[in-house]
Amino acid sequence: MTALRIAAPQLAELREDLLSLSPAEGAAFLLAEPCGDDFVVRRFRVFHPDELDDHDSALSIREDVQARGLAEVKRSGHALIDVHTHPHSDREVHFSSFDRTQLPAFARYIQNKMPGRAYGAIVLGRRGYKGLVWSAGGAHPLDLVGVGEICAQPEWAVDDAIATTIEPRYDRQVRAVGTQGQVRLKQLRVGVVGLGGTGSLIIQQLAHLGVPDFTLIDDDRVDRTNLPRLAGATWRDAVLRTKKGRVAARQIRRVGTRATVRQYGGLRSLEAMTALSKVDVIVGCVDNDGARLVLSELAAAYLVPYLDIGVSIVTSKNRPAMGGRVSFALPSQACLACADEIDFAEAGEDLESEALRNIRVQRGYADDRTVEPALMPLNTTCAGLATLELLAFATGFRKVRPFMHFNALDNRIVPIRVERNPHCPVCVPALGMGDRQGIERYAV
Amino acid sequence: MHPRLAEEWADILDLHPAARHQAAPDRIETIIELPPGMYSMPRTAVAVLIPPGYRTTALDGFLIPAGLTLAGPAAMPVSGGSSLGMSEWSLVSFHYVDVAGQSTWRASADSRRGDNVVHYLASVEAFLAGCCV
Repeated sequence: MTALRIAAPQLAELREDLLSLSPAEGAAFLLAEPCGDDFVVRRFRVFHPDELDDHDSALSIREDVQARGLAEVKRSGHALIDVHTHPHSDREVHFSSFDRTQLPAFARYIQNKMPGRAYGAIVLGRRGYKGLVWSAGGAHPLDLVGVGEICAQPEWAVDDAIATTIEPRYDRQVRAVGTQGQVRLKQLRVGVVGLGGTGSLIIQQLAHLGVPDFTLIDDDRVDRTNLPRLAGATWRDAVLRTKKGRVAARQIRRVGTRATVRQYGGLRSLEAMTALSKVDVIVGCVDNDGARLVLSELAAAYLVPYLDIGVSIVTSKNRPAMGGRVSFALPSQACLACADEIDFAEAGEDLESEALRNIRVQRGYADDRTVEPALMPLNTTCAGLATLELLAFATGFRKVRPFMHFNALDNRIVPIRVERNPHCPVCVPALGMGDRQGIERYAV
Repeated sequence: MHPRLAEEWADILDLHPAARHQAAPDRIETIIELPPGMYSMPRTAVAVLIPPGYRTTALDGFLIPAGLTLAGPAAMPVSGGSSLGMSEWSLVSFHYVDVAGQSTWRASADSRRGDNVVHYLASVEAFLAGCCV
């Protein structure tokens, strides 16, 4: 099944704009980008009732308006997803006989006018929808996925039958987050980048919660200095220099879930970045802003929610500090860069080629990175705070609090209010750009 | 071509018709006129490396042909470009930083609002016109 991912706030706005025209039908063009076999929505345009013709109860877009709309689609290079409503339909929605005649013909027209460009159509009812996408091989179903504050497949798309397959061991959790919450956890695909001090704790908690699908990214190996804070690592792992990904996979399996675990090396490989573009949520447990920049851009381009954890201990006598932060970048909302959580200069140094870095070191412009202090209890607190946000996102037991700081010196958690920066150089250009964002340029 | 570079390409060509994009390493090469008598050549090729994080991360350093020298006895602030796969070129240290060494590069979603290749090339021209000081 091909999926069309759209940021949940955009989906809510689209539905509201279109269904507010009820009992009349509404229409919109979604401009989308391919991401693998799926699509992500970059933006949309809802047609005003004056721009529509309604002859014999069959809705069409006025010819001049349609021509302008198609010209915009052509210029933008995006794929077109044609949306209209059947406001009298509820959960069961079907394309009308008029649609079944007109849409394939329009798909052929688009394929002639814009070769290689995909065309899809969605009909929205009050609580249901039907979607089709046309390619060279003909029409096939299109699944609508809203990505947002709650991991909200549209309510109508949740399969009730899966609730009966929840194992009794999750009884106490179901009492906390509800059956639907546990169902969503059971369907969640999580990518964890960085499997060190915080990442090893995150995967442990997610495995206990019943998350069934992990994409693990880290090319580092265990050494003796990791043992005081790497959950699941043993002395033997340090001696054998076991890969951290392998330790994490072992941790997940020890919990007893039949989880699927995919392991990749470093973040900056095409395979790892492609795998991350397909998960439901990315958890970043990295220690550098270069990786945060790559993940922020990837998350925006593919509309993947990105939860990032940072911890810091400053031992200076003048201004000691100990704490961390949790940042949750949700599609079409503030990202880490909007929150000023990424140092672009540091990110630039992290991402530069080794040759360039060597030249800068020789010329005295760059230093080797210092080894940062670390404490497992601090990591545990921050990983716990982050997992709670992920749980809120996945189950909807409460609203997500996207940005917060934890100060361990006076034991305070401070929620931070962050607005999306309309000039953000990271999330604004990348949002919904899918494969065209060219994330592969970060691969080394 | 880098997607952010593609957005700016028309503006770059407007001011630098000789500009061309080259891969491995990802860069733009163009020709810049030099002040008369200041260098061993009246004009020079310049290559600006495009980092993967561009425009969020700054353009940082450019290359000139290895044969370009100042007319006087002073040496150019350069390093060999062979480790970058550009053995005929020298890397010039030139950064958007303030006196405290902090980056002054200001990125924006809209290339025309923040720093970009056109601004950087203008700064390179001014830097070369000022004897690399």
